[in-house]
Amino acid sequence: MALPASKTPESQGGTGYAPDGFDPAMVGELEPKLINLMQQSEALVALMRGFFQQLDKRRSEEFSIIAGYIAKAKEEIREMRPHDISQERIPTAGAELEAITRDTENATHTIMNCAEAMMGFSIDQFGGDAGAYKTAVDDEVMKIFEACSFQDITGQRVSKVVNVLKQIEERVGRLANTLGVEDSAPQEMTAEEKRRHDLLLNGPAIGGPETKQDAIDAMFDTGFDEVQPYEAPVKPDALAAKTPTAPTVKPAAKAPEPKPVPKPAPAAVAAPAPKPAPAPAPKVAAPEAESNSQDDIDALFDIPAEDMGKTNSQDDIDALFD
Amino acid sequence: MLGSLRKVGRYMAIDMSMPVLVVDDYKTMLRIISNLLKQLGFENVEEASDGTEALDKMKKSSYGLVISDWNMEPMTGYELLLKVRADDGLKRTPFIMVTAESKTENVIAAKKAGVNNYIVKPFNAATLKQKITAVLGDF
Repeated sequence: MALPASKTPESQGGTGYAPDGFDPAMVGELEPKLINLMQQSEALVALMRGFFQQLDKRRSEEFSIIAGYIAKAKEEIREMRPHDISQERIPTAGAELEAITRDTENATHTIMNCAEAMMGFSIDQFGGDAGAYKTAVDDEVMKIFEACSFQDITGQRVSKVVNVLKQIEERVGRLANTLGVEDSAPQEMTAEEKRRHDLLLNGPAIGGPETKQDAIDAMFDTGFDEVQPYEAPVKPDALAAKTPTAPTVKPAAKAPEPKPVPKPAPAAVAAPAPKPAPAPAPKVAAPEAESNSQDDIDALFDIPAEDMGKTNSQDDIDALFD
Repeated sequence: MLGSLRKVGRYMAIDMSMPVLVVDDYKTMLRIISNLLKQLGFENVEEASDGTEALDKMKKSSYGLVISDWNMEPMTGYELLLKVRADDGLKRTPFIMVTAESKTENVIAAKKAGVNNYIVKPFNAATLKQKITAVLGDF
C-alpha cells in the first residue's frame, strides 16, 4: 500500500524527497551516509583504476619482453631449417645408409660366388689345360677385384652421412647457445633403450672387438659332459674317464651355477680380473669330486660393475673356457 | 666309417651328418658360416634368420649344434640361449655364440646362461673349427 510521499528536509542533507513507504526521519539519517559511501566508493574505484593501469603497464612491458624472446627463438629455429633437416637431410642420410648395407651385401655375395666358383674348379674341367684353368681363375679373381670397389662407394656414402650429422650438430648447438639452453638431467630410459640395455645389445665396438678371442677362450671350460652329443647318450663313465675337466652348466633360467674353472684368470688379464685364488687351482676332476668350492667359482664372476665394460685380452677370455 | 662312430668326449669323433643350425639376421653371415661348416665337413647345415625362427626349428627337429649371433630381432641370440637352456628337451644342445658383442659383460652373461663357447667377429675358419672342437670333440 503506497504511503503518501514526504519530503526530507534539505537542511538535514537530504534530497528533500523520501521514497514512498520509508520513514522520512530514517531516510534523512541514512541518506548522507549513503552519499558518503558512494563518494568513497568512487574514490576507491579511481584509486584501483590507477593501480591497474600501472599494473597493466608493467605486465605489458613484461609480456613485450617475453614476446620478443619467443620471436627471437622462432627466428633461431627458422634459421636451423628444421624442415630441411627432417624432410631432406635425415631421409637422405637414411637412404645412404641403406644403400651402404645393400652395396656391401651385394659385393660380399659376388665375392663369395667367385670364391665358391674357384673352389669348384678342377684341372679336369679344363681338359688338363693349365692355361685355361688359370684364365678361369683369373676371371673370377678380376670379378672379386671389381666387387671390392664397393669400398670406395661406401666410403663416399659414409662421408655424406657424417656431413649431415655434422650440420645437424652445428645447427642444434648454435640454437642451444643462442637460447642459453643447457642439458636437462638425464632422462629415464625409454622402454626400447631399457630393453637394449637389459639384453646387452651393445653392437660392434669401434676399432675391433673389445674382448679378444683369447681372453674369451680363457673364460670357458670345454665342459663336454653337459653337451648332448647328437643321437648319442652321454655315458657318465666314459665322461669321467675321458674328460678330466668336466663341469656342468645348469640351465640359465634356473640360476645357473658357473662351471669350475681349473685355474684362475692369468695375470695377463687386461680386464677386471676376478678375485684370484690363493694358489693356482688344480684341474677340476669329474663333477662328483667338487675340488673347487662354489665360492671359488663365484669369484670368477665377481667383477665390479664399473669393470664390466672394460677390454680383456683374448688370452684372458680363453682362460675361462679352458 | 667315421660317420657311424657315435662317441662322446673331446678325444672322439663326432657325427658329421648331424644337423647344425646357424642363426643370424644377416644373409651374408649365414652364408659365410654355412660355407665354412661345409668346408669343415658338416653335411647338414640349416639356417634361421632370428631367434624365433631358430627356436621353432629346434622344437620341430633335433640339432647337434647351434651357432648363433647375438644381435637379432625380434628374439636375440641371448634370449634364444636362455629359452633353449630352459627347455627340458633342448637344454643340452651344444650352443656356440658367434657375435660382434665383445664386452666382458656380454661374455659373462652368455657363460652364465650356459653357452658352450663364444666367438667374437670377425673370426676365421681356424677359430670356428677350434671352438667347435672344444665343444664337440675332434673331427
